[in-house]
Amino acid sequence: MLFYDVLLQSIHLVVTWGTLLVSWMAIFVKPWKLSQKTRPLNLSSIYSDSKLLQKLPIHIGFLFLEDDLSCTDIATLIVWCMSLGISYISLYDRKGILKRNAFLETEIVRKQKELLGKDATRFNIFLHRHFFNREKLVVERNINQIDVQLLSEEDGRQSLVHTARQFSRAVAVKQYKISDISPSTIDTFLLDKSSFPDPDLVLRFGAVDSLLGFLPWQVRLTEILSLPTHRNIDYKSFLRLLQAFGDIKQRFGKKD
Amino acid sequence: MSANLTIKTFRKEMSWVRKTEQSWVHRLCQQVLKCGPVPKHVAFIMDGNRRFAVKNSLERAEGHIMGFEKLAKALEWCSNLGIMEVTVYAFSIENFKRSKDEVDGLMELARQKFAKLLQEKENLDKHGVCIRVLGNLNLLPHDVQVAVANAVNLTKHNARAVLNVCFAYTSRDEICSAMRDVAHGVEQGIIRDR
Repeated sequence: MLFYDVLLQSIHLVVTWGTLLVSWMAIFVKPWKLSQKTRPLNLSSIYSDSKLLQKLPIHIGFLFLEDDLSCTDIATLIVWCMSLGISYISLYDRKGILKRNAFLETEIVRKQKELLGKDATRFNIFLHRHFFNREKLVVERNINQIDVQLLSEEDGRQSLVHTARQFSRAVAVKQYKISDISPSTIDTFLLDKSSFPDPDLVLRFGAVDSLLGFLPWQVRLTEILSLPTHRNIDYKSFLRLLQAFGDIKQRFGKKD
Repeated sequence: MSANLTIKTFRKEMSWVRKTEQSWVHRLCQQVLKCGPVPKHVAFIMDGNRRFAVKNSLERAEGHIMGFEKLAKALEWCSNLGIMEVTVYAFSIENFKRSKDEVDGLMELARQKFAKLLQEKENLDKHGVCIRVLGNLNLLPHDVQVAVANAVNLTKHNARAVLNVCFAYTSRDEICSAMRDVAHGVEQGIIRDR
């Protein structure tokens, strides 16, 4: 039976390499085809693209599940989102590299000037690096206010642990009954701390088919789409995903 | 084949654990796959029973029954591939929003399936299948809770393969239950708050 085993192993090897090749093509061939140049981007062209979308996310999350992060591309994504009218943005990387990165802010400013020209100073961008103990978001929002939260793994489960601890303490001092702990009170507690609505769309960059710890509580109804990489991200691919988001129908478990 | 004939054929084999004949292609693919790493735990979201029913001109309840049939087949495939833990998302708390008829039909299906489990004890023990049911079981009709408890008790000593059936769950409800348990633990002094 040794020959048979060798045959099986060979078939397995061929299939493995074939699948790998196909996925490599998705990363390299597609962007090359798309780089055939497009019309120039500016605030009004991007804004008019947003008008053609069925649905625009209120809060978009970007999961950077790759080893090398490119601040330039991340800043570009932020500027596109701002121009489209998305005012809540989450940037997630597991280890919190973005949180500690000193260049992100300067890159954002640079990209704003580059892409938006005279409209560069129109937006007010707030970067939040902590999940709890952050400054309260401005209550009266206008469309030019953009809130960006930088998140890492510790803001996911660990924030739920923190919540459990707070509730346990409240029960221990008889401030709360155990029955007062409900999905809605937990939700209120978390919302009060972060002030961000739940993300409606999450774009995952990288080969991993997992959210890797991104806000487990808040992604209850989130639509998850992916792209192989964020490096050299092009506007057309991004827009195509937003169009796909607009076409998705959610039935919420009940009858259609 | 008419829909009715198909249903009657399946009704004979409504069991949880089965061993069916496989084509040589199926066996070959299986053996090729086993040459490499295979996931240890696979979860199935059971979606599309109603659409299947509509497409095949069946009653919704029949759609759910066929869904169970497919699940049982999938369990067999997993077992053959060496996947030793399977989780099935069978019924979400959100599904209670459906029509009373449909919910009652699903509860009846659950009642029958868990009752059938009790009859298959030998087979389950032979394959070492441990069945766990996860979710907010208090939301289920009392007799279904009893059937579930019996099934879980019956198979709790098995350790070779695990089947987790998620019934009356939502992720937030589960997290909330866990927080309540922790609060209870702290209240009773079982868990220390550092």
